[in-house]
Amino acid sequence: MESWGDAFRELRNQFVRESGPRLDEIQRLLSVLAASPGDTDALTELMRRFHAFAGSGTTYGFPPVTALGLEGERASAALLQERRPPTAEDLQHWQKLLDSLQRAFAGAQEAPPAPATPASPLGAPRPASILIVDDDEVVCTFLVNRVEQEGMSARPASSKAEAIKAVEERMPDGIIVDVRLPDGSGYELVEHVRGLPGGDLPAILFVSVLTGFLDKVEAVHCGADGFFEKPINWEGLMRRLQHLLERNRPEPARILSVEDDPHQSSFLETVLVSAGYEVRVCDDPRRFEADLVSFRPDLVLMDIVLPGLSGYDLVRYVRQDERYATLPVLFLTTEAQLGARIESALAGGDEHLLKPIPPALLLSVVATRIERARFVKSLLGRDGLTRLLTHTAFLERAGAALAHAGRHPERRVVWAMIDVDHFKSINDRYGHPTGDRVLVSLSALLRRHLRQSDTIGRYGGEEFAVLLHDLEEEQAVRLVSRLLGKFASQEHTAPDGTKFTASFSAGIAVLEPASMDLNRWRQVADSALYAAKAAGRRTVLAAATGEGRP
Amino acid sequence: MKVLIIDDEEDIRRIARLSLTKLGKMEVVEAGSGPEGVRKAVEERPDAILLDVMMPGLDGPGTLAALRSQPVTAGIPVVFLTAKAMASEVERLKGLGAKAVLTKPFDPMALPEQVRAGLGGG
Repeated sequence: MESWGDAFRELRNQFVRESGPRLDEIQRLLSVLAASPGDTDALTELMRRFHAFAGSGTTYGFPPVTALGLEGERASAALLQERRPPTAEDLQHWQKLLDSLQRAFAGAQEAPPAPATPASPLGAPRPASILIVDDDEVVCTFLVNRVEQEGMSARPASSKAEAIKAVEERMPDGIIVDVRLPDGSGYELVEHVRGLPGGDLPAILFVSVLTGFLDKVEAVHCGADGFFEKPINWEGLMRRLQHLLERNRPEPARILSVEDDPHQSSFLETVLVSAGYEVRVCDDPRRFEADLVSFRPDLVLMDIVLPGLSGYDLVRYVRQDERYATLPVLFLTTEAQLGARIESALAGGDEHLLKPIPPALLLSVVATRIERARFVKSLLGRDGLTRLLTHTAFLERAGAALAHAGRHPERRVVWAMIDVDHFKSINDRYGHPTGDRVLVSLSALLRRHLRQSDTIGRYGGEEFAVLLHDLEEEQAVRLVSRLLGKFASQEHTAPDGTKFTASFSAGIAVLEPASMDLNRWRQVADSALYAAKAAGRRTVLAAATGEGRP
Repeated sequence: MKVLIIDDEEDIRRIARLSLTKLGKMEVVEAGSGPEGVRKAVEERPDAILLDVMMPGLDGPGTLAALRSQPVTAGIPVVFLTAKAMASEVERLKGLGAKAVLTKPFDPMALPEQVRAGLGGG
């Protein structure tokens, strides 16, 4: 459905386009009156023409057009009432009004169109494009049909070379690839794709129609998001693909509208919802805090006059809580006084909008504020050096994974705790900037060789934590051991030109949702890491929890 | 709710239609002149009529009188749209039997509620 913002903008553009002939008509009437001032029909028509601009200008967002139209109408009506033909002076007055009208419309055309709809609250409406790589024609055709049934578009490729060509032409949103291809392995293809610009984005699923050919560790290592072996559960594969695609799509931004006037709030809601936002209305300030917690808004629209207290008080209250330090707040008010703006700034509001707010303005301000706040928030959750999740952000994700595992105990989650060996002596010997470069190279290695779905955090100084999904303990150990092999073979260069290598130790802990809370899970991973260090470093060890394991 | 808009200005009909349908979730019928409006009122039996005051030929008050003269349209509530935002004008139009008087230029975002309030407000 077309949004209010788009529809309004379209009508507004039409209004501007059609102003040309109307202004020409006024010009024509002025020449008629200059030639025969006694032509009352022309004078009446002139009044009507100005009247029309007066009645529509502000409605379309052009208050000067209304003001100029009103003045033209008033001047014409006065002459008609006095039954007096216009003088040269009257004609000059109208001409000036006409010139100003022309300028008002010309300005509107030059101005860039207001972004009436935010860039991406809903994500792209176009269907997801999926590349299907399989040399078995039957499987390939089946998959193309299956993907198209889901409302996505599918492109087939029968070899690694063909797939690489297709990807380089246009990066798909998802790839389903057979492990064995006639001219190479699927793993090589995926590793190549992940190395391309934008190649980190597609959801990639492996299939193997022959048993025993799929190596999960290999699949994860090259950067795939999932793997399906014979007998392939196609429904499950489609669900997984949809889920991965959903995850890449930004979720719609949430807006909490604090407004007790039902008329006003229903307008705000209609305009915002039609632009793709999720909106909750809070009409009782006493419910505000509960709404903040349960709705987790990306932005608050705040009326100033509320029953019992002012919007300023509520915002002052919000700003005391550091969780809401970056939450944008827009005040909506009919109070036009300067005092209100000062009060808003003092209370920690971001902007002050006067009602009635043109929808295009509302939407553009809201979109800008949300985008900026999300960006700031994403910076806050990331470590400055490695761009990995911070300790706090990682624990938040681990908590979410724990909650998820409670509901889906069949899905494995593994915590890998990774610590650079002898990091202190690297710093002491080569200097901190070199030590930092070692950390950055390890974080790049983790990012490159783990899946998008795997959560990677910088846990402490030289300590990294990773959550791996859908791997058994033994597979996780193999995967992290391979990473260790890669990392240990990397050569680093000190400022004095000395070449050196580094290594890490890692502890692996499979989540046992029935018996572990977040703390326990972390402790188990920690003690496995400790055991790996004790075993001589450069080692990956799984936790010996002993629970339910031989 | 079905609303008939009678206004000779196409701009006004367009934006009022957008506002009433999109924001007000109302059904809208349009007429570009008084006589066409009376005919549409008979055919469509709208729940309310939004009527421009200043139109060439049959003007708003004239159209209202024509609507009142026919039994099938006499009872339909009428809301005037006027560019004259003066108390005396509003009183005059209410005196003619209008349910409410809205001024032009109107705020397209507020129009549906103003129409609803005007109809409900006696």
